Amino acid sequence: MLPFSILLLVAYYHFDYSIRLLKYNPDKKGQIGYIFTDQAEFILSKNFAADYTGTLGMICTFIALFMIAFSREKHEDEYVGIVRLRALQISVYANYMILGLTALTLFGSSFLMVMEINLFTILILFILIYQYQLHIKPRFSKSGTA
Amino acid sequence: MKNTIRVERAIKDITQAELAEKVDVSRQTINAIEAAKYVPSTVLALKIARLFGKTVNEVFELEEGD
Repeated sequence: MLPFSILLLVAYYHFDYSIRLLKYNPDKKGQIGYIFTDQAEFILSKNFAADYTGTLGMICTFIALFMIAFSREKHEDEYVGIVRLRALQISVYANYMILGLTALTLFGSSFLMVMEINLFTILILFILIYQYQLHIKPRFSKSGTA
Repeated sequence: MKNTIRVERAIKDITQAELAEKVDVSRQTINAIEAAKYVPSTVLALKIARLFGKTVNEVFELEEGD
């Protein structure tokens, strides 16, 4: 799991890099979001590097998050399966609640940023809820000691 | 649903981890069953009862509201 976490960090580094690039070269269209802006730049200036940082970052993040989220437990059994399904359900609900709240509070181009982050929120929420339910919560329960 | 796994475990003097290993599940599963947070499948209930040399009814029992 650790190498994938490192991969994830690398992916986020690429995200930062891409966003920083944008700040140095502000687009005429304003703060639309780097994916769209990058594509526009790609067409206009054939800037391959700027185009691929975002893409690579996004794909790496997706792969890393998927690996972390859906890797098998050391001991996979019926309870783990149920915890996983429940966590997935809660994360989907939570994701749509966040999406609903942001839809009410943010408008226009800033909402596009929300949509971008929203690509990852289900997976991130799932990982947090699943790990909490399976590994952290039992430690606080009365029968936590083996 | 109530269960007497903790008591049975104490009688046999085995830990959650040892019980988990014997019935081929994770320790978290036994922990969740003991804390009454999870109702095991029929297969797992039968396995646990067999390990303790009892019937399922003796280890697991219904409670009010079930």
